[in-house]
Amino acid sequence: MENLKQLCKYLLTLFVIGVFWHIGALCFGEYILPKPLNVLFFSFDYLRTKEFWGHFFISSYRVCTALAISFLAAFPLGIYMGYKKRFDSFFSPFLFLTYPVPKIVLLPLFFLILGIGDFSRIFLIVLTVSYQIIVVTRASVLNLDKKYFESFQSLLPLHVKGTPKQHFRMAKLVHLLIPSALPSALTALRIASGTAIAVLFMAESFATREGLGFLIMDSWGRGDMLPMFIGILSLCFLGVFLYEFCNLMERLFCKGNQPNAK
Amino acid sequence: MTRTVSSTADQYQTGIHVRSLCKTFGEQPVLNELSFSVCAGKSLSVIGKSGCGKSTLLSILAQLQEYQSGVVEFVTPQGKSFIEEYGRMPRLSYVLQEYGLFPWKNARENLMLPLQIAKMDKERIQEHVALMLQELDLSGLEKRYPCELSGGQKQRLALGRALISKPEIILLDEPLSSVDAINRENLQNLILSLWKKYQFTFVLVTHSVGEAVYLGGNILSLSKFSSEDVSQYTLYDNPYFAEENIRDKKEYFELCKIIHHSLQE
Repeated sequence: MENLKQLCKYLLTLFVIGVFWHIGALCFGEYILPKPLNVLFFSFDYLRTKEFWGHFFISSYRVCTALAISFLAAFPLGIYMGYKKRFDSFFSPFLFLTYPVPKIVLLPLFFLILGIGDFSRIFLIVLTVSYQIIVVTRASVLNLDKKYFESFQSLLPLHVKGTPKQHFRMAKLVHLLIPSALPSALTALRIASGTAIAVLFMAESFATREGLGFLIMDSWGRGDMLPMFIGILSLCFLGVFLYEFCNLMERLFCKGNQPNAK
Repeated sequence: MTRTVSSTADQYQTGIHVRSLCKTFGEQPVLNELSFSVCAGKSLSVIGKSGCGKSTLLSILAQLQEYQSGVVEFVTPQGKSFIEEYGRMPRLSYVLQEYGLFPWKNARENLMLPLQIAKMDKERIQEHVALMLQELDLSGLEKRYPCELSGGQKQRLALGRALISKPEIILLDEPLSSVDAINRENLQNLILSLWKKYQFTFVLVTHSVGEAVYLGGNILSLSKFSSEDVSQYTLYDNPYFAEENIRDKKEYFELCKIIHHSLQE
């Protein structure tokens, strides 16, 4: 029921955007802004071509791989930094000094060093996204209320002699650090997914003949507005999909401590 | 049918002896020359103003904090050292202020956590959890998260989490401070009935004189340490502890009054 409501909201919003789009198309003329219905009708044909799906899949592959790598690398690193003071004092100056640098400006450098394949494009997204996840995860471990550490400490079976410390450390990670930091890390991922799409577009508009970014730039160059809009809409769809996917993950894995649950 | 979790083969009773305990935070002395004992299977309530070291005392008993000098010993009812007799520390549970439950775990997961950390096998954990849910009247709530439980339910859950590992000693740090008055009395009764059933030794820190007298076989009234004081604390024996309807008796009020006065000084 809740999901159905959400879907209706989405459809209604789409409709309203469509209306504004149509008005815009009437004002600017077909050559600058094609009418939404024309794009829709064109999409029936275009979505059946191999060409489109080739672009779509390569873009999805790039952005999803990048987000997965970012999360898997940044989440543990953020936790470790938040928990280990010595490591943090060594590593955080590097983090915060390089944090404000917009990674996208390094694009030419990456192409030079890493080549013009998928790797440099994915790496660029990873670099952009993981910073945000590291910073947020680290902060969430640092800000975790001391009472939870005490509470956890009080549950350790001190009467058992010779239990390896390793075991308690593992338990602390599994029961305390990971679940407490997960909600904010997933929120960071959700917000970063929008940035990831933007970086993807930039990274795909140079030196490649594949991907939605290329599709948009190429059609634009040829003045072929309809495929360009299909490209734009596909990127939007990818963005919404990733956003909702992160939302779903949050709902599945952070039941008791979502930011809005009180 | 009621089965109990208690009386396993390796559960024993233990008392606590504390002699000349001193604890300072930097230059600031918190506890000075504190001595008392709690007999095996009895209880002690600790009362005093904020900052007098009540919670510090508790975390020292829980081995969570170091102390500068003095002796903290666990003794069997026969007066022997618990550690020498049984070759291990007594099992201790600690109920913290504001419950100390983990918001990311539901009631069942919170309850089973101590057993999970102690690496008990899964089937036995389920068995213990089911019994404890029943014992604390939490059946049906096991899938709820702490944010979906009432204050009283959270408190029962916190008690259950302390009890589930079959402790020989339970330390309670103002366990009922965030519960309303009516629930508070029910929970005090619950603590007492659990104590009668499971026979653990417990130390309770509280702000409330009534609670101290209701739940303490002995009552330790602590005051803030200052260099002029000869003694930082007074110990009271509570002969009416655990009697039926103690709250209605004249002696209960008398004792409350005495302790109340001791705190005013």
